[in-house]
Amino acid sequence: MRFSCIQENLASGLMIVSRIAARAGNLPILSHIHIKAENDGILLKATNLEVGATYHLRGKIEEEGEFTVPAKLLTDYVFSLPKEKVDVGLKDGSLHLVCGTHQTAIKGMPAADFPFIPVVEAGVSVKVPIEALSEALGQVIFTVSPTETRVEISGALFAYADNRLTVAGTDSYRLAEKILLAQGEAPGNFRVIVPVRALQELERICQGMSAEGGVATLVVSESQLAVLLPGLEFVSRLIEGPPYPDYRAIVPSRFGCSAALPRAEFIGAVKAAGLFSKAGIYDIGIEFNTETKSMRVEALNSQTGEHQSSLAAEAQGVSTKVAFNWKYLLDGLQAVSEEKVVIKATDSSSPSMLTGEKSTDYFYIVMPIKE
Amino acid sequence: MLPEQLWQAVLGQLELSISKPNFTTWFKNTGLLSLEAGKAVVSVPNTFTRAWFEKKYHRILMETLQQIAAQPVREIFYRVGARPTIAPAAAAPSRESPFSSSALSSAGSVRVTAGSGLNPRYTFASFIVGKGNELAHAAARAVAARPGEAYNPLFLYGGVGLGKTHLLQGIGNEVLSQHPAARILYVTCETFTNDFIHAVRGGQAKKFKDTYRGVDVLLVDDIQFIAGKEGSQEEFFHTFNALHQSNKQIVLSSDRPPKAIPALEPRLGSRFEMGMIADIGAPDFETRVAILETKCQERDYQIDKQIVGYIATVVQHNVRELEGALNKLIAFHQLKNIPPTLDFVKKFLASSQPTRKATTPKQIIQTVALYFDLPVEDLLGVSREKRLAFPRQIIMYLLREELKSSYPAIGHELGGRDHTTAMHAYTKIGRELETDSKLKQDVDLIRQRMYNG
Repeated sequence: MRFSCIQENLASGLMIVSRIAARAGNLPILSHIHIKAENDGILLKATNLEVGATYHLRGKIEEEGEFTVPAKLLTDYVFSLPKEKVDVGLKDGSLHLVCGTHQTAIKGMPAADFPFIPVVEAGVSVKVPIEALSEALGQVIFTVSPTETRVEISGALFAYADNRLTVAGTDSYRLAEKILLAQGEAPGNFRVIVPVRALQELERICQGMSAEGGVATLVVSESQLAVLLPGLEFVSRLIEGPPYPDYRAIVPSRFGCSAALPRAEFIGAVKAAGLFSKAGIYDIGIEFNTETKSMRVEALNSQTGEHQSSLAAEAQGVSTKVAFNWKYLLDGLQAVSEEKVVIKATDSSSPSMLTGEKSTDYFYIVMPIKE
Repeated sequence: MLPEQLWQAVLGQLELSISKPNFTTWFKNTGLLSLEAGKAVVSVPNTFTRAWFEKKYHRILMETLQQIAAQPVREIFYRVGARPTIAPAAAAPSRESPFSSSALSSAGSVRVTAGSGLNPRYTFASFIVGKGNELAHAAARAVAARPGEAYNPLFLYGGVGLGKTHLLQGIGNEVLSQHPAARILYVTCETFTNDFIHAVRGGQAKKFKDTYRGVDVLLVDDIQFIAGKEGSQEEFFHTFNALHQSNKQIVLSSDRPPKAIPALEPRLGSRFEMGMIADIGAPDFETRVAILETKCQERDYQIDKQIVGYIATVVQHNVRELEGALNKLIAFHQLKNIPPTLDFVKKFLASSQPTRKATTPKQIIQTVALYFDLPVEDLLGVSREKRLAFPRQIIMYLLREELKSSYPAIGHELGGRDHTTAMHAYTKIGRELETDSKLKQDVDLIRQRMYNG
């Protein structure tokens, strides 16, 4: 194998795939990157058997071949190189890299033992802008916790029907749902659960690409989700087993009161009150006052002290008081992308909802703390 | 051969020719779904494994399957997911709501199978096997598989809350599921005694005999309470003989070995020992974690690994306490509707852990004297006979461990001995505890009596 490329291309490709490679485990080769030069291009591949990624590296091939080297070592090394041309070759069971005055040989393993990354199967496919996908992932997947006791919520729901892609996640204390406009390619609908670890990687990758625009194609087949991005194929297994809970049933259709207020001010007040919440419970009180059109945020900790602040808010309905875990509330506030947020609540035993003031494509539900 | 057995045989053979890392990576969670007319369907956990099997292991798999199944295998299909599991379907309650305000009450309901005194909740499937109870579990299974033949009687003993009753009832339930017509009777020793007294008083000796001697499996819990009750002992002796002679299974449980049950008639004691005696030790850390995780799963409650580990570290000696701590935690959090955090659990458990009863040096000496059946004066006396010296060393060890007494104080407490004697005793017992399980059991039992008795 022999090929040349520029350091920036190699570095950005490695940055994407090296995170996918497994840290350590039973099979040492899983922590390696598979480099392959063949007639249709140079490929960088990594997998941890849950997720796999194939990156198409731009470069000039002089001789075909393949090899694997430790992902972390190669990535760290390539990042230290000057921004010049890199010549990559294979000699005596090592990967040789020549860049400017730097010369390196990295030991690795033959590629024959590297796992196959499943090919993208035919299935239902939809197109979404990368930027929108990246935003949706950022707004939803923080609510998902990787748990083994309830596998069906250890991933996020991806459901597609009628040109709308729904992404939802929950850890049973809070729940977020985002609806994206998507363009169906191959006909059909799907409703699948994607492991949260795969989505975290996908979010990271999409974030890096969202500035350039571009479109992601999601291909869902029986047992896997493939995401086709410019120059990159990303494949994840799906979570099998019990179906995703019917979360729509617990979303209240009516609330006792609602308040609209500037998001930045609300975040500030929640953070301040959070400092005085009880350790381990993280509770802060939110009091809606519909007469004075205000909202009080307060916390009391017998050891550190107490705090109250009052915010002007367009409060409507019946005045009420609800206690929240401030971290959950903050997570939700940060996920809403608008200037002004609307918080809706009924009492301290039913779920409350956060949304943007204008848009209807995103909501965040949080269970209050019962007192 | 069933597909599962066939697959196990295949795995057994492949394990020899494939390196360990490769084997564990690729063959985890695989299974054979069917093998019919030369067509095999193999289930794999994900598409990565499927790709690997198709391209790398296809031939060796086909050859091995063919060889073991002794029939031609022409095709192998790989199917993702759908592993044939021995479905723990009972532990999957309805999951309509994603939020966790689920019913607390369901775990508390106890149904009792009519007549036998068995609680269907106690099965082998729900018993978690660890190092401490391996032998007892294996013996119980053997007995359940071949009642009256394997070990008769089976005598299980161990400390409080380690699963004696669970195993006892597990045997009953297992036998019942295999032979629904079998007559099984589970009683506590107290029930036996009471029944006997009623029978004598009411002149219903025949009915009593019919009840106890007409069963196929007799399970008696906490047999140590028969100590000192001569009438009951005699009746039990006859019941035992009658059952044993007609090859009916008898299983007994106790908190101590037969030899250590005081005031037990020798002829009864020796009968208890004639079958199999198995002890149940305290669960090790891994087992405790496994227990907690199973309980969480049963309750459909998710909890952080770290927290599980913490509870398992704090509550060490008793499964019942372990369950209690978890239940309390779950109840509290479901009431408040907040997820548990490690910091909070630490505080919560610290405040709810029952404080141990305070002991005094005198109590320790007395408990040990009672345990070894030796007069206190002799233990404090000058004699260095072995039968006295050893218990004396245990006293010294316990004084140091439990009360943090100083070595000179320990020497003083035991009839004015030198502090170096105490030091020697402490290190000696401490060292032997690590290797001698008999000694460990003795010390644990003494501790238990000190704090519970």
